[in-house]
Amino acid sequence: MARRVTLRLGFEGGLRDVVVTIPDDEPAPWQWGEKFSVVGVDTPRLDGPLKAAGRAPYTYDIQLPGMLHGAILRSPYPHARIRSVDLGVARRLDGVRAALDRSGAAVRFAGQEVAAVAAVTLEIARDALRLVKVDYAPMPFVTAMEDAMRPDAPAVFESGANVGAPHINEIGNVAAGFETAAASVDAVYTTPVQTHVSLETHGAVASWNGDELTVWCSTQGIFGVRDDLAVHFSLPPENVRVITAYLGGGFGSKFGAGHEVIIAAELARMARAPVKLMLSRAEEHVATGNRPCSQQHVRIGAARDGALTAIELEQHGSGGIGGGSGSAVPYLALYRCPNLRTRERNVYINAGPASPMRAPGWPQGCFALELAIDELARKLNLDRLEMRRRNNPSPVRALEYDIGARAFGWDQRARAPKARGPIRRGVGVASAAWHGIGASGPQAQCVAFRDGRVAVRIGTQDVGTGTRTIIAMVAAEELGVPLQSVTAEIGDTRYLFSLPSGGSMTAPSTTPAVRQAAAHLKGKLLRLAAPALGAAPEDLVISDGVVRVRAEPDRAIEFADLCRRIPGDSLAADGEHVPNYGGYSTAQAGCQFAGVEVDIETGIVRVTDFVAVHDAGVIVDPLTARSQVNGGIIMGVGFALFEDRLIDPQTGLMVNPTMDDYKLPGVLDTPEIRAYFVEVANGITNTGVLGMGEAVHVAATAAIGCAVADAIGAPVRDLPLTPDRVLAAIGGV
Amino acid sequence: MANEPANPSAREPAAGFCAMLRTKFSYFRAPGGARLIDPASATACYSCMRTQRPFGPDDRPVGADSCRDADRACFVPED
Amino acid sequence: MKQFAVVAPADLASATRMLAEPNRSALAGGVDLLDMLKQELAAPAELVNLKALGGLDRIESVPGGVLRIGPLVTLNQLAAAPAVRERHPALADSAAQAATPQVRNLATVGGNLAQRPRCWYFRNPDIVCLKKGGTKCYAVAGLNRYHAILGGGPSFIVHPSNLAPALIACDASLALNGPDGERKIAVGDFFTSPKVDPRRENVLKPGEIIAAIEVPAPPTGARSAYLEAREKQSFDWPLAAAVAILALNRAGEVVHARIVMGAVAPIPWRAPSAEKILLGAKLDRALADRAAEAALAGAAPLAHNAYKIPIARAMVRRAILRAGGVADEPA
Repeated sequence: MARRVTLRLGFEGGLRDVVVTIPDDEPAPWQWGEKFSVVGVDTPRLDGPLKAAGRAPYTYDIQLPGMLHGAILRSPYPHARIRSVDLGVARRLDGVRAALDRSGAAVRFAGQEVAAVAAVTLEIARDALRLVKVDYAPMPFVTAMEDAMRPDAPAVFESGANVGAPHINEIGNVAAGFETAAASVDAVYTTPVQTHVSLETHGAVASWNGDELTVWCSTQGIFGVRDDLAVHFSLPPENVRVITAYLGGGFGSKFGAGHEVIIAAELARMARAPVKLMLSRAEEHVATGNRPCSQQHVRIGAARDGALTAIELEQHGSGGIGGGSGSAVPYLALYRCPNLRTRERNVYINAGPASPMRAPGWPQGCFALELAIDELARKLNLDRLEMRRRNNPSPVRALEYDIGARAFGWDQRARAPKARGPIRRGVGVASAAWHGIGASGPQAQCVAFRDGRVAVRIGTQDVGTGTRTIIAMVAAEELGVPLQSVTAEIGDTRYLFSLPSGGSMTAPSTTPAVRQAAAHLKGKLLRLAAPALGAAPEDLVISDGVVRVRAEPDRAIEFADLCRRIPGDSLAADGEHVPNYGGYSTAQAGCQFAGVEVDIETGIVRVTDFVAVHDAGVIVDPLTARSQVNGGIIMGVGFALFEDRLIDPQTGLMVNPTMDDYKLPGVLDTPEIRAYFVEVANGITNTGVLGMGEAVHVAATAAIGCAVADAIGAPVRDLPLTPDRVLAAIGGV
Repeated sequence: MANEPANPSAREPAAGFCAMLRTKFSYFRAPGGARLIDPASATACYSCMRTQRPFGPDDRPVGADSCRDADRACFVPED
Repeated sequence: MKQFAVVAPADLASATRMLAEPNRSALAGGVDLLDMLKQELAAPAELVNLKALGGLDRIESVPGGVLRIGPLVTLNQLAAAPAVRERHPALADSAAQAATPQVRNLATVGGNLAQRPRCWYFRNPDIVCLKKGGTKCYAVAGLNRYHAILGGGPSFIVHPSNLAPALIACDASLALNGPDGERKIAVGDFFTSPKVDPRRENVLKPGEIIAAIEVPAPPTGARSAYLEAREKQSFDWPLAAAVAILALNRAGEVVHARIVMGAVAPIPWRAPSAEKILLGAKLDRALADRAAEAALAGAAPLAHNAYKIPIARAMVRRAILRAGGVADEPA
């Protein structure tokens, strides 16, 4: 049933033999020094040409015969009771086919769903929304967290206080820790609400056939959407099919069936016609989630040698009318500290609910913690990188600091003169961590066809990271065939189950299932080849598309010729993700170095360059891995310098729900980025692949914040680092 | 171990939540089949499958604590 | 977006007649107009397509050194035109720094001058502000980090045109063509202060369009510079912009000075006090500092935009030094 294998695991300078027990039908985990032919090779996305040519069918592109267009009416009031909703006039407008009341009793944020219609054109649907009569009774509201924390603030929920009970983490004795500190910092840091700004907005196309529902959906989790729809419509899950062939981003905001998906399916059922409902950019900003704001009161102390003695965090955050605004995890995870206390409280305000966003809590926490550590290092007159080395618990990160410092030129640049005219140069470094390990559940199928093609099918979805490509690479590697002969078929609940793409868990969850399926298929193919080659299946190997007898490589048959011996149309085998077993380590480290230039007369910050050093187990495709590093850092630039969901205190409306006013980094705002990967053989699954989406993002904003403080000689403790704040900090020097 | 990053699959899954409670990890399951809802998380964003909102049909906020209360009128037990 | 028809006028006269009818909008590049339509801030029944008229997309040199710029000349065309680059580099730069290459390929000179403000209260379809017939300017007590620091009240928008400050500094004029014929006004007189009428940004009458922009030859020896400060370097509106056109005599004394700022006031903001300090004086860094100080002397910031004052001051000082050929910092 199970077998024990000894694996060479770890990283350069930290290798050891580890014995793991694995099921018999599981291929032995890839280990240190593994010889790959496909994995590890820079591979352009398989669907890149299709996307670049505009031929990849995103949900937005789906057109069905007789398809109607849905639109949602949203409350212009941030807090109101709804006395009545009258759909009569809207329903009678020429071209309107269905109308739906979605109001409920109370509106708690401007943008909350009130009603929806489906019509033959989107323009008619929007006209119809103007004809819906809603009787609102506006109520007092509060949209700023500091206002909501006051005892006399309007209550967001009548049932309870705006400020929630604290989540507390406590280790050691914080008071004692501060007593032994040679220096300490006591400061308040704030971060604003950031929105996901997925380039493809939320939305779906829903089509009924009797009691069978097919939904094309912009989602990170096709099976979650399927199951939610099945619950909502009281259908067996197999009656619901969800398709996400291509997805224009999610960043955590697209789990499960949200309003727009349920509404599209409801309208389609009422109208007896397919309905497409894609949200506008403004709707996307106000209603589909966000990264909560934070206010972090940090006390941190260290001994003369830089060793941390105590950290205390008092944190408030607001996820609007939702929760989940904590940011303490980096304080617990990044550095060694014997005495630590964190208290996180959620504050309700009348604003759209938070949803998970790329490393929930981490970028906020890292920004405050890393800035505080820099302030502490300055007091102790220690090099800021050295301060981090002293408190770093991870041997992998220690190596990454060295690689990064060398590539970035830390020692020279940290001491270089800062001024050139009105420009001040600065550098910063921040640490990353994550657990991009997989979860159980995914199953994959690998199919060889008589013409030599191989398909790998799995009900996952490519959130934009390159999942389709790395799945095909893993299958090609295991089967010993060229990548060109493998296609990855994903994004359909008709394939075997896989998990939502979130928590950096897609690559580590799917690749072991794919590899096992490919190994099982290889077993079947070798049994097919054995009689032809006059050898036992276990004496055969496949490489470069040729099946050979291991001991006599001249006795061979082309993979494509072997496939012609398949008796039917194809030969298929399944595989599954085996729960993680032992191995070396599940932890990921990482660090990022940033260079900035600040114009001290205008307060304008330019991020010039980044060096990022990361580990993610086996890097399947270095090209898409670098692409993730780029994306994580660019998003960090946006959080550091520009992005801020602004709500007008007079009306409770978001004032910048457009691509014009909600500022995202553009080409000229993007620094030069150099990425380095430290290979770690971890042996926790058969591939040892870890996810990267979050590890590459958590430190970016912090590194920029630290670099700006270095440039101007004063910390700017509030994000974004806009000219007003930078000028104020300079004025205070 | 507190000085370690969050490790979702290392969590001991809790049980007894309303079947309508949703959060990112409610779409993941532990090897034993339980949904990976983590009441100790300070970053989980909860919503209700009945309303698609962070409050339930009774207009009260949803969450790992408040949606484990079988006496709440809208509570639906898991299968 | 409400349904509309696009109509093609046969000539300029019929275009202005069509536009004089109620509920008509002129369509040139369509950049701002499309935003206004999509945000449901404008709902014209007909768009009068000026691109159907020939000859409005040319830059012509006319005798006397005047450049006659058609209103449908695009920003990229203006930025790249050799005659503009050579004679009026500040104007070329003001076009080159606007928006993005894609927008500059569509956006026209006329549209740039006549575009509506970018104020986020004005642009929000759920807010009826002073500019839309409401009773108050929400920027006064609201979020005003990008609003006016000079000349504000009762509306505190900043005029969004990149080209206007440069055209004013060039002493350019506009030919306006309407149902009553053509009139010519200085670009500086084209814009309407909110103190006169907060609901409009310029003097265009119903049916009137900008038919031409005329830029006279620069004074002998004049050099110009345009600078803007943006939070983002890609696709952003300036926090402050400044144009300086200076002519110096052999002694290094300023004999001609134009200083105009953008993005600081509801209209392009000329700074005569700064020009006065410069005129007749020898240009050096201290003089540029004093002129920049004077340009912002009257600034009256709102709660969140005082930071724009030093930024505008830096733009003015740097533009003066660049136009005057003086290094910003000691070498």
